[in-house]
Amino acid sequence: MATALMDELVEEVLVRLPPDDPTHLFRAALVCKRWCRLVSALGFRRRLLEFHHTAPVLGVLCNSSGRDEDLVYQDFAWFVPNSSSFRLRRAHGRRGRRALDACHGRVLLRSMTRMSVWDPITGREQELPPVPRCSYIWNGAVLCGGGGGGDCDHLDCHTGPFLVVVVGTARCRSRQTVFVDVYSSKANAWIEEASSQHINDIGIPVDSLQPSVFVGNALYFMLRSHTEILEYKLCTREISKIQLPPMFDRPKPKSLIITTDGRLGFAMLHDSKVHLWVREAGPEGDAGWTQRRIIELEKLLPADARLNGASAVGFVDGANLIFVETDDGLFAIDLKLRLARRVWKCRTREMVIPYVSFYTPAIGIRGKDEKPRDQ
Amino acid sequence: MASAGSGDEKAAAAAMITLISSDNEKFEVTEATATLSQTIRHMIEDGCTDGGVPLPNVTSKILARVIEYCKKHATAAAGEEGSSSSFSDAAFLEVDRAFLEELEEFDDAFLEVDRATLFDLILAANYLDIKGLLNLTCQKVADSVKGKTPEQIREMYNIVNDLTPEEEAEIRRETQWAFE
Repeated sequence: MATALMDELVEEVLVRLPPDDPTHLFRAALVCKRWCRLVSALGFRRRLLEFHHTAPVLGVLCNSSGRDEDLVYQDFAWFVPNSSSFRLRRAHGRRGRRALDACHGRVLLRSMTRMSVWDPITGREQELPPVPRCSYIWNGAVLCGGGGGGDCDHLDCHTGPFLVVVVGTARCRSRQTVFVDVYSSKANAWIEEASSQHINDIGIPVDSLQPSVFVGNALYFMLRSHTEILEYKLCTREISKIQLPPMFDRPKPKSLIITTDGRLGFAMLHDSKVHLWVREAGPEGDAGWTQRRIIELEKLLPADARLNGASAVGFVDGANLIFVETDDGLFAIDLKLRLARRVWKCRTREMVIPYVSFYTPAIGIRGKDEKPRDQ
Repeated sequence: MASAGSGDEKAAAAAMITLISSDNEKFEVTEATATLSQTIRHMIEDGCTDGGVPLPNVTSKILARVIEYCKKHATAAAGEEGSSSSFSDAAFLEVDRAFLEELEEFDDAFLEVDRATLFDLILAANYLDIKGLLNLTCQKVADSVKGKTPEQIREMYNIVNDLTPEEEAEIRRETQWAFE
């Protein structure tokens, strides 16, 4: 192939290797200089995105707690690969931390006192200055801080600037009050606090175990009641509440999702079925909730995977992938191929956070006369 | 796709085009078959197909295979168009599935070629801009690479390893997990 096909066509072949298992591309990089150069170029990530439309799900972040070797009770944040052959080069877990969110290759972690941003691929962890307003109940999200007007393609921004948004609730004169703080890596400081006029009376605390989602230019956090969600608009700094549709006798745990067409949605596990709902604008511009899909898990999971205690659900609509925890561990279900695979033996009893990112070789083997490909 | 099925379309489908391979062999094909190639479609639109379309990059052996592919896929496309108006939804789906299965079988058999031919087909699909054929042939090569070690890939495709031992060691160090 080295001589018969031009670069463009070798790329055309290599782009078809499944990107959710980076093993293929890393092996391809070892074939020869040319292949290594092709798969290491930023332009190749662009080709991958064009061809596959979305970045692959490399794994999920799972939180667990237990005693370490010194019998100290600790939190652990684990990176669980989606493919059996893919391994992180460095440690798979972070001790004493919980994962709150993952975005474009970054993972937001919290420990008892601090927050940090971890890149599982490089192993680099950056600690943030202390959160200005300390509260017992809070949640956070990490966002790309590049591109200003949202024009970052997120193909290679995991080493660039980022933002961390913390939403917390504090009790103030026997009422729950919500606050928002934003950290900017560019300034290495907490730069913004939602001013008093934006602080609403929320009534219900934020669910700190439920990952948020970022849709449009707003962040959405689940409230503990799981009957309402909190919306924080980044540009206007407005905080508001959105009611979820009433279902069944009592509220069930739900996880927030982003649908393939970029809408806000939620997934709910009930009676061995995952119910997917999406928020859609009505004829008069008023947004309402519509049930989009019901996924029957029993038909998809192996017969011996007991769903009795199924609780954790992570859903990646673009990838048609769902993560469900059963008594026998965490399963990844490919909804297109109708295939279930166990990715983790342990139990977390919490929502898992999908880690969606490209992982291609970034090996600097370029001839001196060759420029990096850019299309 | 709309299912007009008008007389005009049939007339257009019956129009013949002559394709001339690099070794000067002439192939008469219908316009419907030829226009699976975007390159030829543009030539027809520009009205420069009189006296045949010379394809200096494609040998007669490869062109014959490409035409075989285009004929089959053009027929399937026409069949789909014709069927959509005359069947109920369920029947249409049934026909649709039968078409797809038949096409898949055809594609599988079509790809039973040696590696040199496969590469020539990729080059021809790229030159003639036939998206379906390019996808099919490139996927075939990608599938053959999947799960292979770098050594196996090099052997399969006669690729010389020009990485220095240092470079190779660097890549392996970065990604030990990929080679376990």
